[in-house]
Amino acid sequence: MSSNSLFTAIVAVALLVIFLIIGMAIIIIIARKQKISQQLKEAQLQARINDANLAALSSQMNPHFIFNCLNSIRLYAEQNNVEAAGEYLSMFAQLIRNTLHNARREKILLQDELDSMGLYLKLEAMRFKEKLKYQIVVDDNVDVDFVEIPPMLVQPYIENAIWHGLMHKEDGGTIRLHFKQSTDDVLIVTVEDNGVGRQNSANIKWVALTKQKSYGTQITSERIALINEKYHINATVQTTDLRNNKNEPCGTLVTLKIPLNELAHNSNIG
Amino acid sequence: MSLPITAILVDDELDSTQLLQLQLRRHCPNVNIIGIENDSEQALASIARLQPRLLFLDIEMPNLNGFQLLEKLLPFKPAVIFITAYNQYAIKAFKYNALDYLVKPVLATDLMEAVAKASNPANHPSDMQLKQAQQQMVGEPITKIAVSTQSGVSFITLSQIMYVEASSNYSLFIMDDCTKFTVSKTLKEVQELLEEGNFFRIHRQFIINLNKVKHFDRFEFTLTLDDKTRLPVSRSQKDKLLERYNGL
Repeated sequence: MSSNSLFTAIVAVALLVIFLIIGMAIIIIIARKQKISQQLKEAQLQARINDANLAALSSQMNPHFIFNCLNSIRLYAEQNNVEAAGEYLSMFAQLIRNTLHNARREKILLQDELDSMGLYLKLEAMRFKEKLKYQIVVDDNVDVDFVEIPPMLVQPYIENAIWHGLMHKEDGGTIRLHFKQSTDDVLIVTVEDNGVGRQNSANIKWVALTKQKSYGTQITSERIALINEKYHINATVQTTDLRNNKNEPCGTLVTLKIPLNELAHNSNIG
Repeated sequence: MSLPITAILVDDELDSTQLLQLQLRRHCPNVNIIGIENDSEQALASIARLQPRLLFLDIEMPNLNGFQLLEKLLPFKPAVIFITAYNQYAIKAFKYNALDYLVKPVLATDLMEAVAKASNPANHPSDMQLKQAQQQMVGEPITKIAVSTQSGVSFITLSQIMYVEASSNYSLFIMDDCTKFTVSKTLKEVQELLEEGNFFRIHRQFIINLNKVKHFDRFEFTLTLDDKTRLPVSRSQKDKLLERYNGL
């Protein structure tokens, strides 16, 4: 072999090695960049979820609700109705404790969410007396001690039903909550009220409070969108205007659908 | 004890009117409750018919809010004590317009104080106070505030304030046209009223309008205002003051 061809071979090999190294370096850099941007994306999504949860917490801890509850408790105390004052104070404390606790979690047991909803409705019923009746039905096949859902998804729709549906009716009405589970493991939550309906409610002016009230459900739809993005699921919420057989508005039906299997199993996927 | 004052209580929450009734009976026996209303439309009719001297009025109610109800009552104008569970917009509107209000659950001492004040016709809110409060509650920008002075309630245009000086339990407002007036509030209370505007407390004694500053002497810690007044700046406030300017 001439020294010339040896030299050519060496140069060729060296070039090859250099290209390989550069190529690998480029691949590593790209992969890292992608990983970083993926991590950044995840962190951003998480930050948005945290923001949305915080907003949900503050809308659930609605000051109007808090201070009117305390006011009612004070009334019982002034009336020397020691038992009622004590009971309502403890229920109020329990609801606040639950809310603070749940706000830090991404998912909670359905039973815990049911407890909070029950307390919330009891306290609202204390304020509104016979104007507010409610019913919570959970189907037998829903395993409340195992099913996990994101907290505070349902409450804003209950609040909405009370304030926009029932309160505008002279003698109030009933809220029906129904939890059922389909065969393909989708949790279906319905919130039904027999109030004045969305259209009538929108026509009634409620200055200053209106913004705050619809705020709660707006936050919830944003949260649902974020949860869908994070868990790659398709949870939905749908509002239907109810009409009686004379075609008059007779309430509102909100249907939430949460796919439980994917929500449970996709939890570690970005 | 003073003469009985006829009063009507208006709140959409049953418990609220009941509690208020109990508290008034217990702490303000000179208040004669002639009506209790839990619906704003019905309240309107009953107030017009019974013409009470005093109204306890919830601000957030379906159909008509408290301000709208008052508007519909005109020309009849009773003394008013506003009540709210918590509505930051309403509370601001009350404060900026020197209107009396109570927050739920109501403290007995606050209730007695408010009733004593409302018994004096000199303290009844003017149309201007009510109108401006109503506008501010729905989000209109605040350009003027009402303050109680020795002679009654005055409106102050915020942009015309040069600075405010503490004078024991009173505050002295110095305006850009060199007029001055004394307000029966401490400088701390004035600070709370002005904090959303372009104002800054530079010293224990002074709140200045940041738009009226001409020069800041870093070495002597003094500010010179447009009208050549020189005021001292607390060392602790210097950095925050400069921050306010950097932020602009």
